[in-house]
Amino acid sequence: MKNRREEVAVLEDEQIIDLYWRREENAIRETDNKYGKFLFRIAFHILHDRMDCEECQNDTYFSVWNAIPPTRPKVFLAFITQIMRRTAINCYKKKSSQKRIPSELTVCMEDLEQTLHGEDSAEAQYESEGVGEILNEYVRGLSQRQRYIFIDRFYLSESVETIASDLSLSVSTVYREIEKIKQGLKRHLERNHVSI
Amino acid sequence: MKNDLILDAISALDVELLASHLERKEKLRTRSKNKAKIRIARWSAVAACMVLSLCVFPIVRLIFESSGGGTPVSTATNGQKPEGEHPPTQNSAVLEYLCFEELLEKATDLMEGEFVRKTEKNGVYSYEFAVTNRLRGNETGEMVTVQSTPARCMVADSDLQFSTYDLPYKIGESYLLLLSRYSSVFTDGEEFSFVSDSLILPLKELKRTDSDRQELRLYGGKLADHLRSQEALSALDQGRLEEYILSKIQNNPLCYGEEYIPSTDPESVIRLSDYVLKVRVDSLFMESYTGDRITYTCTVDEVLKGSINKQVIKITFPIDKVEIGHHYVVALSELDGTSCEYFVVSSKNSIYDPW
Repeated sequence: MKNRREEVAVLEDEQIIDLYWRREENAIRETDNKYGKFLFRIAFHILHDRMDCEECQNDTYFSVWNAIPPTRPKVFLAFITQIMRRTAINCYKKKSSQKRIPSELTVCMEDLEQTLHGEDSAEAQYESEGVGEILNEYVRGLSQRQRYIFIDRFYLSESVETIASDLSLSVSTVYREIEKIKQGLKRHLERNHVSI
Repeated sequence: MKNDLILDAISALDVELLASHLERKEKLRTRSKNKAKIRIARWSAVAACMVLSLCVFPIVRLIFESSGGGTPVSTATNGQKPEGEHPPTQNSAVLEYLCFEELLEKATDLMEGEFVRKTEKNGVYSYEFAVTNRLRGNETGEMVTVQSTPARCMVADSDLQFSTYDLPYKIGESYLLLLSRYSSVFTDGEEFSFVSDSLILPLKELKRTDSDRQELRLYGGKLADHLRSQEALSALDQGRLEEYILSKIQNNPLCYGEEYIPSTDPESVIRLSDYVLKVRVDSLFMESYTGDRITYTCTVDEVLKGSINKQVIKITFPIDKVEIGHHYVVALSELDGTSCEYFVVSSKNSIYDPW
């Protein structure tokens, strides 16, 4: 399904969505043309394997094709990012049960797990959905800079160096901010009686 | 596994937060690129100054000194400032701007309808109208239900903002409805959406010829501000906007969506389908975000019609119609350009028990 990249004028998101609505195969090519690299990066941070990433990318395009129409996403980029990440995470889970994947996601998840690790308690069993809501609440309460770092690091698995470069900060400042975010998250989860 | 719980929790990140983040990321990247350009420009300017000071200025100075003149003063600067960072928006949705005439291109149906009620299910609002006059489009019945996903919206590259949480339809009032109709093999019937959730056209206002037509709305503002052609503006001023719209959408499609075989008679379905296969449903491949379909990885037991060279394929079925581990005879269409890898049921009656 993935088409070869061509040097063409980049369409607006609304125009791409219209192509999906008209069931034109161009929709996939235009999506790849505009966001292919970005989507590949997301998958690569998670899987660290080019072939797996390409497969996930094709599955994502297929999934988007299946979803639009009837969905008309309000923010197309956020919509495809969610699908791409979820597809890559599913692949990651499958593969990581067999071996440790040397990716940016593994590093940041292990880091987060170490900080959040607490005593298991029977009354603190939450479904991930419930924890997700608590986590969203925490992210909304973060400062603008910390929120950027949290989403970039833990959702998109960007490297600390890239985040530092994007925000014009030093790498050590970003590490300090990440530490503050993790400690804050731990306190927030404890306040909500969540044990990870 | 604890890691999985954290992963899943982070995956549930609110789409509003993600959209806002991606927008800011894009701005930062653009700013970073601009900074790089500025750095290059600065270095070029410095290099140019060095060339001037090393080569040109000594010569000029020599000429001036030999002619008894003073020393020239350098005034070279690059004069550029880095672009400031724009404050990130907090809006949950960013839409591309389409003027009224462009929105008309999306319409499949035009009708007059009286607003009856609004209901909500799974975060999607349904607006029900009693159809009083059908102007364009296929049959809908006496009632039409239009779906809308509520959001706080901002229109890209403009100051336009509006919310679709509370569209200003009043019960008992009549409106001109410009709708997009969608149908697929997976939907029970046809579905409708507004060409723009923000387009509100009360009938009583459409007939007015004075300029105080405050209730004709688009993008949270006056409709007149988003008309681009003189023809449309004249039609609005003369109370003929309905006729104008009707004339502009005559050649639009009647429905959006994938084509499928409309018959449910097995004989017709099998005759008209490109592929008829006996398959075993092996495993879940992907759940659709629309909730009405699901894709499984299947093993081909036998090819009864058509020609495929793959043993394992992916088939998208309507939700809850097949079970993993079971065998079925299925009538299928191939998703174009997928080299016989992805298939979809060809009609609403394409799944048969082989025994």
